[in-house]
Amino acid sequence: MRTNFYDYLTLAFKVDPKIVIVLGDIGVHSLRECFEHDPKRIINIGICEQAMIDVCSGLADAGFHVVVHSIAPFVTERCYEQLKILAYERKSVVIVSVGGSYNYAKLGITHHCPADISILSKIPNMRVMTPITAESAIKFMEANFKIADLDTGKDDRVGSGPMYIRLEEQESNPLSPKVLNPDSRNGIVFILGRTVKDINKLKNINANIFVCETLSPSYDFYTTFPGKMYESKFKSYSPRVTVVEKCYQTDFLLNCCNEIGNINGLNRIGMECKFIDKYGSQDEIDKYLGLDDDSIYNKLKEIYGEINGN
Amino acid sequence: MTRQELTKHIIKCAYQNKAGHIPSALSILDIVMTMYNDILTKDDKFILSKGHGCLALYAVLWDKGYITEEQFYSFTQFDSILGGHPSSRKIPQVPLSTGSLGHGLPFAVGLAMAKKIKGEAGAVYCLIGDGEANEGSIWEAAAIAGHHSLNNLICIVDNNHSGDRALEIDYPNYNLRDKFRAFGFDIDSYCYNTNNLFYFSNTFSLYNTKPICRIAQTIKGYGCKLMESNPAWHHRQPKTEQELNELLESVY
Repeated sequence: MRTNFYDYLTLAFKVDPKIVIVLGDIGVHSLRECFEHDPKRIINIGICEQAMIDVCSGLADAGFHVVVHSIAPFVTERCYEQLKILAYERKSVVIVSVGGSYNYAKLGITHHCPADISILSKIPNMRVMTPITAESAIKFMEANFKIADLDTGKDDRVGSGPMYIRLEEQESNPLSPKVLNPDSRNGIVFILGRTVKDINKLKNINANIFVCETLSPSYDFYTTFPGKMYESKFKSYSPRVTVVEKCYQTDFLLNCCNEIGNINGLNRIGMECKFIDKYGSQDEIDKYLGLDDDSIYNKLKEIYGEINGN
Repeated sequence: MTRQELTKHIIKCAYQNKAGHIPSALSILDIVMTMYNDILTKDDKFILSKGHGCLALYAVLWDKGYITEEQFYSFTQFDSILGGHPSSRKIPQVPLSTGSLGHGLPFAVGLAMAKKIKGEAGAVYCLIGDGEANEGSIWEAAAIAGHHSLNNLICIVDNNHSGDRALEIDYPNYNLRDKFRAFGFDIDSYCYNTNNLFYFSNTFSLYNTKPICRIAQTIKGYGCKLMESNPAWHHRQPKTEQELNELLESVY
């Protein structure tokens, strides 16, 4: 996903003269076409994340469409206060990370970031996006800049603000569905981002399954929250709701429940709030935490059963 | 083992486990060897703040008998004690889990202060990277160290002049010596790789009145001709046996 996002970003950089890219000493080689195209608008600022965010704030204040990029823990946890002020000031900086949760499995906990989504979602005006493809990511970015350009300041809910985009290591097949079993009345499963690598593996689970690229249900300028789309169906029964998220607990469950309204049971499949004391590969840690696709399937099967009646 | 032998083991280990920042480890290997062979006493502490150079530390710990060969070659495997950055919870010789840059020096300042409070002997050595010196926390720590005249603190800078970038950051007047001096450090003479082994005298002395900064002019990837100052190798490991053998043959 990262490589494809860089390609999209390079195209956007060439088309939009307001885009300024700020790099925290990563992605420099991959974005070399941007350096060649207009070196004034792409800056490798080095390893100074707190100052980096405030620099982005200044650039955004001057009217630029700012994209800032670094590894997840450093562009979220390390500069949290700066992000808070960025959001309060309503600066539409797009923060793009790689290495969320334990994507950098071999590098240990200093490079893990399972808390990024939950802590950033506690900042008002901060939009948190979990795209499953690079194409989604770039569309989110462009939409955020469009809102900033059109912002009249009158509507707090659709006003300007920073956006956090969490890139995964791999991306889903763009042809993968985001909704499975829409006619099931047995319950609802919401999957945050690319928690499940191959969503088609869940097609036999006897529940509505939705892949959500954001955890803000009211945030529908690009992604319509599925709950709203099927609201009339849900009113006639009380579904059991499960969220699946490969990170520390977020407000995803709460937000989903608020949209659904009358629910009949809650489940969460996700990371516990613990440090991961293993290295290895992401797949190995998925299995260790019970968050590989097969384990998720089995847990959902226990809750909802399978469509063929098992 | 000699530096060349340890260099080869570092490259082989990274190849075998498809992990590791090899050039960053090689630029500090001499320093870490000298620390463990000649400098550190039982009263001293050593913090590798630029944690991504940990393969150098692991190689030296193996050479000194603190870990086994099997443990060394288990680098970044699922149940290994040796990760891509060192963990204080898995390796007794590691005082702080580093990897996120800019934390080692403030921690070292705390250790140095603790020694002062308790009246303990010994020094605290902290090895940082020059890229790491971008971090504001380094200078916050330096300011504290200077203000409190922590003359039992020695900051060593691995000044290898590069990072994970094809285009070098070109900060004008990026002069670490002047900066550390301005923050109240005494600057040791520049130290160069000589005779294939990093050399500096143990100039730590009770007669120092200030913290010390030693700026080591190093070469990223030092000792492996194909890697030296080549940014493409920053976080890359050899992919094939042929590539591995070419790297090993270029070790000098």
